Amino acid sequence: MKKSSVDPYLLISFFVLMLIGIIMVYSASAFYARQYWGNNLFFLKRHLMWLFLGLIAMGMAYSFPFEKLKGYSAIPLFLGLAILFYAGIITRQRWVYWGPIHFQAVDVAKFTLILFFADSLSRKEKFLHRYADGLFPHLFYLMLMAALVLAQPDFSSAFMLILIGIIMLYVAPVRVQHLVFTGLAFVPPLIGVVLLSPYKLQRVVSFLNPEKDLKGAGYQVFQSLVSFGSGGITGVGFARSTQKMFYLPEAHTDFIFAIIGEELGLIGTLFVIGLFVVITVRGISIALRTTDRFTMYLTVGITSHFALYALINMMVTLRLAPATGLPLPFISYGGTALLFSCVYAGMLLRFSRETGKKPVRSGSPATKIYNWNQNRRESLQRVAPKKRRR
Amino acid sequence: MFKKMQKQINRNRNRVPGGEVSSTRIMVLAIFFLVGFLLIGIKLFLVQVVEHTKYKNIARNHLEHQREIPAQRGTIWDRHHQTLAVDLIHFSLGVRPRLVQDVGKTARLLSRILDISYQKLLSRMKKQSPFVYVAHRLSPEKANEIRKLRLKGVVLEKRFSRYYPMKEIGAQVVGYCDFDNQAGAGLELKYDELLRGKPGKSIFLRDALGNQIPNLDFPTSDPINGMSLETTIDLVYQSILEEELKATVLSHKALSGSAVLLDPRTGEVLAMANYPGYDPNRYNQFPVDHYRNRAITDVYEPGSTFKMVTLAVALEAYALNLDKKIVNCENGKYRLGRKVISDHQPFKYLTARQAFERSSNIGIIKLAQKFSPLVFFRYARDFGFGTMTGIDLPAEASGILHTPDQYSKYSLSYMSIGYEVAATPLQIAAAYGAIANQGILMQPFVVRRILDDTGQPMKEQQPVIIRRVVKAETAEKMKEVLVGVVEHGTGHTAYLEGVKIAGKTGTAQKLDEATGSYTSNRHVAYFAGFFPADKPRFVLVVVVNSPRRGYYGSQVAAPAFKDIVERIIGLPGNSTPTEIEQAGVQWASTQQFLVPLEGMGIKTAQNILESRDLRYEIIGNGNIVYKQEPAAYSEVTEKTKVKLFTEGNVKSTGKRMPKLKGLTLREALQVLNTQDLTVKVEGSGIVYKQYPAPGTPISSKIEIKLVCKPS
Repeated sequence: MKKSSVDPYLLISFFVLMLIGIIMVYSASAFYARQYWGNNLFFLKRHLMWLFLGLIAMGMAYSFPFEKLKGYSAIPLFLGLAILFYAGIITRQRWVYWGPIHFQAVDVAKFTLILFFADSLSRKEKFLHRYADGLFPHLFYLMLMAALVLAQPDFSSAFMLILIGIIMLYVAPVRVQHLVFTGLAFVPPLIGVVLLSPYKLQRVVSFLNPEKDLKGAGYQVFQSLVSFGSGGITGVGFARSTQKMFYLPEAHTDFIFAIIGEELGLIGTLFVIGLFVVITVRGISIALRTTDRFTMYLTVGITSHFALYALINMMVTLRLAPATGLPLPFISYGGTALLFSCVYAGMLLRFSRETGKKPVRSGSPATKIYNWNQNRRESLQRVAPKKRRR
Repeated sequence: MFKKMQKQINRNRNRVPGGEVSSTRIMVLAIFFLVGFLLIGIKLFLVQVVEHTKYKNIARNHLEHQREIPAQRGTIWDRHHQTLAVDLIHFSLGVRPRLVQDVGKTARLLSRILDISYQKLLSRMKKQSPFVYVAHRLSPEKANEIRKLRLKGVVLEKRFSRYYPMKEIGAQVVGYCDFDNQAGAGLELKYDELLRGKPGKSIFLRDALGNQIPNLDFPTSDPINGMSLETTIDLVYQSILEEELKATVLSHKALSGSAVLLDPRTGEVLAMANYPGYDPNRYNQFPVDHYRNRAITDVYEPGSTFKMVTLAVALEAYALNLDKKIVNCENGKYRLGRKVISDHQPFKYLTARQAFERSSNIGIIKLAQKFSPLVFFRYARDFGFGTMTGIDLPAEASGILHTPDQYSKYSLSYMSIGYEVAATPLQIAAAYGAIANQGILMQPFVVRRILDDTGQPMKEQQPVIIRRVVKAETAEKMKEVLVGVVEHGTGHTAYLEGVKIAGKTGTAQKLDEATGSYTSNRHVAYFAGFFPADKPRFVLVVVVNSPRRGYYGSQVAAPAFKDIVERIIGLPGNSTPTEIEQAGVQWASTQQFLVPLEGMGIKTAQNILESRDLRYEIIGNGNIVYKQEPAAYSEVTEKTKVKLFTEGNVKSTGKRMPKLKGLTLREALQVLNTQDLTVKVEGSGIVYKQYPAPGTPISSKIEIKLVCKPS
């Protein structure tokens, strides 16, 4: 495969999102940090530390030959399952503490699942239209992993894991009816889980009747809407949010998008959405263009990860979905989620480079976009040498 | 375009197995995601643009807070600026646990100043809530000490609470404020608007934890402290009245009692006492019944004390010659319709003067029989009966005085001896005041000056003349009669050597509300009068409700009246305001001066001294302070030791030997209240000799001997 430069739009989007993340984490957390930790910079420092680690990981992911993992992805999968087992069954908490190292088990597991699915699906495409020896093994691992996450308990992460897995299965040549029927089989237990844990039920109820529950579970989301709404078009100005003064809980983590809405207004929120749209479109275009099936599945998994987390997080903050604690990739404060977002970003950039030079024929919208870019790049290159000649 | 897509897909299908499926499905996925982002964009537009104003206001409402800065409630003083009610400044100590830097150190430092254990403080400070109260009612000194420590997260809030240093004294007049500083009764309630002041306001921004957001200045308005009241009450007189009233009510096993002391020349209320009383500092521990200022809220039939109206009408409208008019008193029984009126003692023929002095019901009725009801009514109304006096206290009752059109055939007769009318003790005091004040009725009042919080007088109450009720000559004649009542009539039990007292007893049977008829076992004992009769300076009314040991006004109320007069007159220099003013003591500065304690009961004096943190020494074991060192109104400091000299035990029982001659043995024993007295009786029937002589102080140690013979 011939080498070419990385997709600059993707690269710029990632870095701009990280930059917005740094600024907004500081702005949203300063009051909280001073109140509870006596230091304005408490969260910013840690965020920068995670981001620093993330950039190293991004570089490593960018230079890691993932195609070498083909056929060996079961090893990381079992590692991921083992960690999940440790977190979900033994300690029953989301974070795993190994001496100085601590991380969220589900982030590691999700990475290994995407890797395993990509490897396995790309090798078994011929059997995937069959249920028993095609689709079922994949579903089994997916559900096993989701069950372990659920045991932590972390309902929303399990839900996201399943969504990403299903999307990866969906783009593989499996029969849709297999997926649908399997999905239907899971509806009753899912409802059971929701009904049996009161706080989940309450979130759903408060989502359906938001006005009834402004002090309880609906409070957070209502404050989030107040944040967005008071921002208006241009926002109240950077660092001048008043909602972050403990009116809006989780301002620097799950609800950071609301603070962006308040401080930077509609302009700011649309800009962030735009960046995620760019990542989604560029990711999809890589998936469409690549000839390597393993790369294609990985790309779909990673792109879905970014798009889904952004979508669900924003929908929660805007009361379009029930309240769950999911971070906004690159922007929400630190943690392993940020680290793995960086890893995914590194992978996506690597794949964009691998597929960059592939001859493209006009046809699909994606290829059109690609061609347009290609043409622009060429035209830019045409201009540039001239400059040099002068 | 579809064809081109198909071509691309076909190409992919050729290249990789399953490729055809993937491309389509990836496109579906992409569209799914893009629609999602579009949806979010639309929602953002709705929230951030369409509903912007709504949410902006909500955010502002969350943020903006108004804090009330409490105003200090005005002080209530007696006429010499002795404090009756005052707002004390104290502090509440709160902690914001999250802002405390070193919990252990903070708790240790605070526990040293407060009387709270280190462990208790620590557990309070480790609470999860954003704000915890640690201590209330801290003195300003302690608050200052804490402030000096400059501890982070420790908040001091200024508060006010009402304090009544004189406790029970004057409680029903002063009233009380409940624990939320809301006025409940008395002057506190009547002048609430003035006393309360106006709280200040400050608007500030606050985060959700209640922290004030710095650097955001908002307009504030300062609190306006309440006005202070200088009352006409004299603490010494007030305590004398309360002590004597209490002793009387208790010794006669009465339900309740009231006493009113007015200055007849001005209408100033010098003292107004009621028993049972209450301590406004812990008002909630007393029955609500005790808060009532019975002297103005409770109406009784005035009985014989009302006969002075009859006397006034007879003298002025019917030109009665007191000594020439002879009335037939029918030997004590007189039929009036279906009822028989009786006298407490059978009389045959009496002059009009004698009829008043001996309080013969039959004689008075006969005098009144030729009256025009309208004239009688007008005089009664002019004396203030049936109308509120207009005193500046809440819940005053107007009493009952029927108009002539409501009279039955015998109404005038009954009214002439004080039945079918009802009056408050204050109304009677005011009416007797009119006689003392040469026929001019004054309006009683309690607050004579209203001062702002700097001590600047804002309003001064001048005496208000209501009307001239009788001519000065008539008033003079009435005075003579009333002096006669005390000197050789039914009021002789109020007789005091050296003081000319004018007064009238009264005994009214109480109307049983259930049956509507008069009961023979429930009475109201009255004594109303003024002194010194030549130049009256005090009007005093004593009312004892339902006494169970003796019931005549002459037995129950008159001795109490006399005891009060004795103590008031006996006061050194009789500390009237004029004399103090002459001494050059200014009202506002008297607080650094010693209170006049002479004449007070020892317990009252002790209370006052203790409330002022003055040390004292009691010399003698009497009940009443007759001398104090240093003298009243001399300057005192914390180091001064006040010496209180108390009288011997003379007044301890408050009893003197009554005049028993002429009474039946049973009546005599009833009057004596034999419980703690040893009485030796010789013979039976009517008492004709008694040892010791009337007026001698008696106690359990003295043997009383009554010699009787059959009538």
